[in-house]
Amino acid sequence: MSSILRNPLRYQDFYVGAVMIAIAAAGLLDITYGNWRTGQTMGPQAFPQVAYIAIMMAGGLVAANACIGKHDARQEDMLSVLVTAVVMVSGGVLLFLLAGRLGFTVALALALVVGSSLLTREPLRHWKTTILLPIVAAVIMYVLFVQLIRIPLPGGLLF
Amino acid sequence: MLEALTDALLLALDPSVLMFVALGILLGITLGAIPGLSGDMAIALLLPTVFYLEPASALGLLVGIYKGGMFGGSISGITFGVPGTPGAAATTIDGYQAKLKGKPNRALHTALYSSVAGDSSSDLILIFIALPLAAVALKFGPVEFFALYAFSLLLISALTRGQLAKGVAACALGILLSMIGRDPIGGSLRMTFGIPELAGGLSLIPVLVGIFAVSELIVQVSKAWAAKSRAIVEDAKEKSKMFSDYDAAADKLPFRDFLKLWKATAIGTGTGTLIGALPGAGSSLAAFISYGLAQRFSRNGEEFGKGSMEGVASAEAGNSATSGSTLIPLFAFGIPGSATAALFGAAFILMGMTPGPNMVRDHSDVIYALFIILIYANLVNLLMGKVLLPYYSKMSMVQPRILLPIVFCLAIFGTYAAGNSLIDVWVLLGAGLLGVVLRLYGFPLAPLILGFIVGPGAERALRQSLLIGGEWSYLFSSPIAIGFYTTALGLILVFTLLLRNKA
Amino acid sequence: MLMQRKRLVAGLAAAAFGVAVGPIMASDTNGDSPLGDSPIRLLIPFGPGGGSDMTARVLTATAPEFCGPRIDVVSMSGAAGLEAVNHVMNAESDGHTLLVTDYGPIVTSGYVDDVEWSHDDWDPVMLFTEWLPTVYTRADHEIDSIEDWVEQLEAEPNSVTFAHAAPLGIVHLPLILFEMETGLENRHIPTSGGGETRSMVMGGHVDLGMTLPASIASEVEEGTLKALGTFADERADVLPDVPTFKEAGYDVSLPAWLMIFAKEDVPQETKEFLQDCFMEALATPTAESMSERTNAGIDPRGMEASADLYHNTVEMVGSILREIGEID
Repeated sequence: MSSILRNPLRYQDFYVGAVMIAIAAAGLLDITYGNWRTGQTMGPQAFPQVAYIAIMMAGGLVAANACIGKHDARQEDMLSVLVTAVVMVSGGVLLFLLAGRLGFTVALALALVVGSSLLTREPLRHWKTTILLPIVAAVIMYVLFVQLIRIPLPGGLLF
Repeated sequence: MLEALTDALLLALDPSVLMFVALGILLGITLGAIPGLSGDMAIALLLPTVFYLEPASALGLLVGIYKGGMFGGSISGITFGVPGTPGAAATTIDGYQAKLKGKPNRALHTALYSSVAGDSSSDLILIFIALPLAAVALKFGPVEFFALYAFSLLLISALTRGQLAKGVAACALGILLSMIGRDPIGGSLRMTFGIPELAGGLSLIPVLVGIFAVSELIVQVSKAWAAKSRAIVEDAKEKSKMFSDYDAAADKLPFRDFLKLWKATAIGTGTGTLIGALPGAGSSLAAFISYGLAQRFSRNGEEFGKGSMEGVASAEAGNSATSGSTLIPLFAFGIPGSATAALFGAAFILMGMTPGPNMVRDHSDVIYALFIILIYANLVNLLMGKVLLPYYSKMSMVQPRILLPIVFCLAIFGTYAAGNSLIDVWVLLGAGLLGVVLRLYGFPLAPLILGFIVGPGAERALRQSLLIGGEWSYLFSSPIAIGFYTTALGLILVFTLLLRNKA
Repeated sequence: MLMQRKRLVAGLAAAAFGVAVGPIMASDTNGDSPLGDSPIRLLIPFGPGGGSDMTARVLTATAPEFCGPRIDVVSMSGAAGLEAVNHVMNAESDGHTLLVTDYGPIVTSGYVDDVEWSHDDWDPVMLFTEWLPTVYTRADHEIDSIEDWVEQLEAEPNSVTFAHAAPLGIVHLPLILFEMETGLENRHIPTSGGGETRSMVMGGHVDLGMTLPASIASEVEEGTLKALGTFADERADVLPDVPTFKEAGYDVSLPAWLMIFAKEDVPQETKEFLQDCFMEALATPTAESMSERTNAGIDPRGMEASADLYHNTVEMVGSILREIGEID
């Protein structure tokens, strides 16, 4: 036990396995008690059931492996990647919603300028690549998506 | 016959037709390289041109887009780790690793050559032995399809590095995701969590682009963010190192080096042609199966997943080899076996030809011209690829701080444009989050996509079989199915024995 | 910068293409049109390349001349077609966003799905055609006619396997209706669509299948497939030798129409204008030859006839779904 405590690396895969088992158990409970049209031998529940059982068994194996010292290395930058993920996904949602309010080109240019400025040291000094280029790119994408592909954006939009 | 052929040659080699083929390939490569957009979407968009263009020109344009798109998807896959089309997902696995090791040019050329090789062989098979192959394809009913899908699950191990248990779990998760929506047999809703928009299920493009591409972009952005806060001196040092490390000479791919990949390319071509001819199986499955088989039969199987050129060649040949054969059921029986085949079928109908065996007889001039276009379009594709590739492989050197936001926005709007679906955009972003979490905890992504592709087909085939046959033994009523099961068993036996001997 | 160059190349290529075909595709706008200049979008709740897509495209090619603005066909197959329906429902009521659909995504979905609209929120603008669901099999199958089929089922219930596309779709409900009328039972095998049904029938994996006439007409003529009967009041034009179930003595008719719908609150005069210009366009020789070529069998009807048909179908589908316990 003490060896596990000294080596927090092992903990991660142990918990990954535990979470897998928990998710699969929740899924199986949902199939048993939830609103599923079960009854036939090969009903809609059969495949999900097998998949949940596979996840549960794999979870058990992952956890067991962690206990005997076989585990994947922990990613060092885990927190920063997760924060980036949340920021980018919300940024994507925002961009798409804004494309409906502000118009496609404006929203896109804004997103590209903000995006490349955030990733550039001293963005104003590099204005050619942080401001000019994104705007040009937004215009080209406007031609591609709105003029040529004619994507129908939801709602009555200004482009 | 000879007269028809000369007529067709005149039609097909008309300069304006050539121009449309080249234009189509350029458009196809470019659109295919944008995540989410694919040749299919562009074909659908340009379908009305058949009203205005000469039949040969219109077909040249559509064929060009299709072929260009097939290869284009692998460009973004190799240069950014962001597959542009579903078919390129398997190419990305090794192609991107090769790029990270300073071999983008080699990987891109391998992809181009194997794509053209697979495509050309598949076209020849369409032209010369469509009928016998179509007869085999018709033998595939639910029982045979289930056997094929079950067999393809063997590939989990080929697509997993590290713990096999995590690969199995990823595949099971993919199957679960594919089950969301209306049950295809009974019609009841499942796992929609009360969201009516999920009734139609998740589509392949947003899931695939999200899992592979968006998650990759997120990881890269996080790296670029970290690089920004590092000291300038350190940064400059690293940058100069990156450029001095790049050895352009070592990154060349002499053609004789490509010839050494003949085995992987041949496996991909054979598998792709066969899978492509089966209605409903699809190019991404063909690419994954080719990749898995090539790994099994390679002498350097352990290199797969680490930038193996064999991996790139087999996956890309498998993907592209579906392009000719996917039209086989359409030509032989009028059955559209894939989205692409359905679009070509629509184009034929709009030109006043009914897809089916009579089409070749009744409209031999146009169809022979199409055959000729199919063949020479491959050469045009090769040529244009050769010309454009130097630019594309340099593109991977552009600073990520500029490129990443653009590619991310392209992925969002490309996915939206592919199905005109808002839900697809939310699914794309959700799948991106899921992909990041899976990456961080050491789960391989390719098995998830395999599960997502195989799940619905396998379920439908199994339940159809049981409805038709009434009992489980019906699953073993077909020689083809038994063949798949014994091959699977054989492969497992042989490889466990081999592994034991190695250890 | 290279990325930009690549985009530029794409843009130029696309622009070049636009210049090449643009003038032909976007015909001159008619200043007098009450619809103005912005394009009319015909949304289809299916993937591209199918029958509805191709029929709607006849209007893209012919109607701008009469209606004024450009006409685009937009395929939106997400959420089993509901996304297209909801998109039209949420669009402005100015007649620029219309729905082209068979009864599946609007009538059946209106009953079985959790939607925010009701059947009364839709008004048909016009009808393109009526598709007549047809039972078919391979040429060498022992079942030769409706009578053979019924006989075999009476001798041994559940002995015939019958492939159809998605459950409760336009090529499944007629079978359910037939079984309700006759008390016969088949083994229903749902498939992913017409292509899969067809390869299962031709490959001998199932006995019978159901489809729409245009897709099998030439094979029936050739003798590679045979059609048993049609669930309609009259025979299909492209299958003149195939009897209807009515002729065989079973009063089962459930044609699948293809209509253009507008939201109920689109002004009446806009709907009438659209009806008139679409009907005019479909009467042109170009439209007729396109319909001929694509086997679309376009036989347009105006909004009143369409409305009657629509409300009939709503009632009929409702009673079938109640009978089989799908809805209360």
